[in-house]
Amino acid sequence: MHKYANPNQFLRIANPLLPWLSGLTVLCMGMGLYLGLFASPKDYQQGETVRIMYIHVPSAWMAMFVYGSMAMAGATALIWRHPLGHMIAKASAPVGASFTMICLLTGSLWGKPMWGTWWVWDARLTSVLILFFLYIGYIALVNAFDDSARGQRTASVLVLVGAVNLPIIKFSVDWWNTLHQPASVVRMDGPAVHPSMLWPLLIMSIGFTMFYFVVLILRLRSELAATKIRNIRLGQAGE
Amino acid sequence: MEQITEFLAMGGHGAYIWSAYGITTIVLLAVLVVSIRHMRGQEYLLQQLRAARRGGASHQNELDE
Amino acid sequence: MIRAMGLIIARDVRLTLRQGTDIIMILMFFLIATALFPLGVGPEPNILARMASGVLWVCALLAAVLSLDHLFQADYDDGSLDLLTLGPLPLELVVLAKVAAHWVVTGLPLILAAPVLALLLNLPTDGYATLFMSMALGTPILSLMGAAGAALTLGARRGGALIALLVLPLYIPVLIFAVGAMDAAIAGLPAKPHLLILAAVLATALPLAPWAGAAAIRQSLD
Repeated sequence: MHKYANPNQFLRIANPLLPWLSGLTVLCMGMGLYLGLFASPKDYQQGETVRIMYIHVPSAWMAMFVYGSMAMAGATALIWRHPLGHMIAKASAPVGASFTMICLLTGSLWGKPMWGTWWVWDARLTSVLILFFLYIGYIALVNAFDDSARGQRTASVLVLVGAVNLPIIKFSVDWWNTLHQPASVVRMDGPAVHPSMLWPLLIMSIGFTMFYFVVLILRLRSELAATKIRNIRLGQAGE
Repeated sequence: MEQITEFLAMGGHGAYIWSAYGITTIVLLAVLVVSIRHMRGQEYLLQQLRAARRGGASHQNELDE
Repeated sequence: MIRAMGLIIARDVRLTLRQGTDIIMILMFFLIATALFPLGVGPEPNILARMASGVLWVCALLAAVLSLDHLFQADYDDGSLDLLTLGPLPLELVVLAKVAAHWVVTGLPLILAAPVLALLLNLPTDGYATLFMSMALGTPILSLMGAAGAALTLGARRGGALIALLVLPLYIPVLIFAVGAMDAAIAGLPAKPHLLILAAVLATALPLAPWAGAAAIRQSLD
């Protein structure tokens, strides 16, 4: 276990995987697009707009999955004092924030034709918006230090605080929403999911997950190179 | 031809659906491109620094990594 | 141990009181920010009464955030934080003591000022008792979460704005349950469930925030 926590060792395993993961990403996303846009029926209530679901819902899952991964990586790094976990958390954050943004924007584009408005303060939308704030806070903190290793360690503490708070925030937003139920929204639940809709959803989710892994490896390589560059420069300054 | 127009119109909601897919494509591509460029830049810089060190102070080669 | 914590609290409170300006600045900010709302939405008493609970709490959150960058910064700059870390008292309890001191010099003044500002906003009479209760339960959470945020940003660039970015999302549950309690009381419904949840949030923050604050301070002194 400890052997793989060495970033160099990790990349030695991850690099050969990169072409395979990239291929899977393209394959799954292509299949997801085909199934989502052509092969799946339109919803009897939502019509064609249901096709937005095939990117909206997987990106919502990714938003949560990536934050969960960051919290796990940060926790392991803090407990066993391995830098790899901090690096994974840092490399994941922009991907997670992007998926959260996609989720919010596509949700908005889905809401306009369905509910007649770009935004409602619905419990789920609000929770995702707050998740986006947490990502932004993490990214701001991790980049706010001159010593990047220090920034990563501190930001891992933040991501854990956020992970503990997330259920509380979610609960509070649900509570708040039941107090202020918006009247305009008729149907908050997504369409009843039929198997012909489930497949594009699942395949697209796998595609998004693979995309996350690909970008994660690329960004880890950047981080690792940056660490080595810093060490060389520190060594030069010391001479 | 008619089929294509009909497909693009998406039952009158084409603008929403296509912009949702468009935004997703743009954001994901941007993340990918930025990550690749950053990685290339850092790895190139690292090579340069290593080459410079090897030229300047060859006795320190063993200390790398 | 309690004595040591008491000493830290007394020292911090004394230092802040000697300066004096900090407390006044926070209170003035609370007043001015609250006064902006009638100017923004109009002086209509019914609208103000409807908004009063939310406006008071939002302004209290912002005032609390404003006070945070002093929490550890001075001790960090002059090195006394290193001494406290090396001392016999666990760092978590040091953080807790500093949270308590922060609450005395910001939370308490906010609690005392809130009813006066509520008058300006035409808060319905039924809301005052719950305003006090929610403030009493809520402001310690603001100090706790805020201390974690302040510890995380020690030594960071753009500390002040960064704290607000980190801490305000974490303050959302406090805002929701506190305003929920007040609105329930004003509507003649029981405010107790809201207040109980607020107390539960406080019970969660009480161990979590000192742990996070201590962890962050250790990173900053490594």
